[in-house]
Amino acid sequence: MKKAGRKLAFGAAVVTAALNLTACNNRNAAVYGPPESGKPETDLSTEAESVKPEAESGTQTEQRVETELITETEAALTEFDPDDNLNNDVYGPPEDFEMKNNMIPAVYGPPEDMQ
Amino acid sequence: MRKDSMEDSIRQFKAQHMDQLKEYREQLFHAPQLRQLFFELTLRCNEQCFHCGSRCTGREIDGLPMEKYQEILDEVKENFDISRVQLCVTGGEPLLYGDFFALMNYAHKLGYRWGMTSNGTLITREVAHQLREAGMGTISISIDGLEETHDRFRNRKGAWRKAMEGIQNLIDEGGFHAIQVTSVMNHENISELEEMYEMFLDMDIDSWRVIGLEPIGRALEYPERMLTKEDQLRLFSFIKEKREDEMPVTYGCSHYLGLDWEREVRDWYFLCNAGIYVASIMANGDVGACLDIERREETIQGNVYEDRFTDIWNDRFQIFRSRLSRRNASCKMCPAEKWCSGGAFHSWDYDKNEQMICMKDILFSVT
Repeated sequence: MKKAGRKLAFGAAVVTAALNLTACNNRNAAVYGPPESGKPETDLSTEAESVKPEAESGTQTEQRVETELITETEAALTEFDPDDNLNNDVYGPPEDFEMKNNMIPAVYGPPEDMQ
Repeated sequence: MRKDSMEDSIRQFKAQHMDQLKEYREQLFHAPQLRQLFFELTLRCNEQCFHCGSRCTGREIDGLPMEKYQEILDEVKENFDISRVQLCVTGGEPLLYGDFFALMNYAHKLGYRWGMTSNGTLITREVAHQLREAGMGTISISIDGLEETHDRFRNRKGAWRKAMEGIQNLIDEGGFHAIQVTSVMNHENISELEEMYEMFLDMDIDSWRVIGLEPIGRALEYPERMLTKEDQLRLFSFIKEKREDEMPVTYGCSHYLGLDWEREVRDWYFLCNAGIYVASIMANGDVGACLDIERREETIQGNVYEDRFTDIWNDRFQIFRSRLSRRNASCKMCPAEKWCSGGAFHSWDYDKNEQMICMKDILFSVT
């Protein structure tokens, strides 16, 4: 059986996303290492803003991107479109279905370059 | 976040989603969208399953002549957006329909996406190749237990081996959108769930659909094989656990399951598709919603020899475009009614006007 690569039980998927979010926003120095400056993170952000207001440190950028990613993931899990509330695998159209690809030209029509 | 508050949040998400779905269902009652059109191509079958919904065995009855099916396909293409319609062929065993490949090649040429349900026993390498060339996208093959159990339920020795060969032939052929196995679980084969899972784990199938035995068709003669409350809980816990492990095991379309189980055992929230997304043309030309619904005067909406399918779909089907729960006093009073709406049309007792199986007090309770 082909593994999905993601949790298919809704509750477990939401919990996983939330745990990721918590981990992202609650960095533990013992795990992720101390701030580069060796100062507390609150001081670091103040200092960074006063010295280079338009730039972010690598750690901050990484954290922001990770937070956005996880928020997007969480939103994707919890947003709901009732029009898409179907089992599309077997009894509905595949998401990438295109009518023009639903033909076998070799059987049902001439090749495109036929003169 | 604490565990109990997380569980509350998940329940709230689900409740919001199902409220949205309830509103959407009301819209669909007024503006249905044909998304699945079933053809019951034949009532002939080379097996004799004890749970057969159509009691088809031994009936040497084919469906409509191919020309009639072609006429219907032309008509549906003219009147519906077929990029949103899936043609689903079933039986009996659909491969026993005499003009099967001629018909499916015709549908494919018109641009229909199509899939089928089959017992798999007739799918040789050559048939698998022909199915791909005819544009089949999806297929669901029935396997109802380990070898001895499957053969006994289907009253045919060697059926399991042939079906497994059929699945492997499809996998070897490749090029299909999804190959699914469907298993109907009952009180006698529920103990084989884990072994069946291990068996399918080694196969390159896309999903495993597990459904419970419903008291319809020939299964009515075997009440002792219906799932007990403990069996149901075992089945749902099993599916949920596998899905948490990222495995594509899924429950079927039946029954509202309660907040704690909805979206945990399948990808979607309960919504009976009968008559709002689904229509069927039976082997005798009768038109109904889902083929598993009891066939009686009030559920048959017309016949393609008397009326155009399009007109039947547009002008009739009212029975399927209102809530079943309106017919039953205790359903009307139930707090889950807004999401359940009386359950699935195939699981309704039209004589007693009640659900044949209600998951309240099995999977969830209401206050």
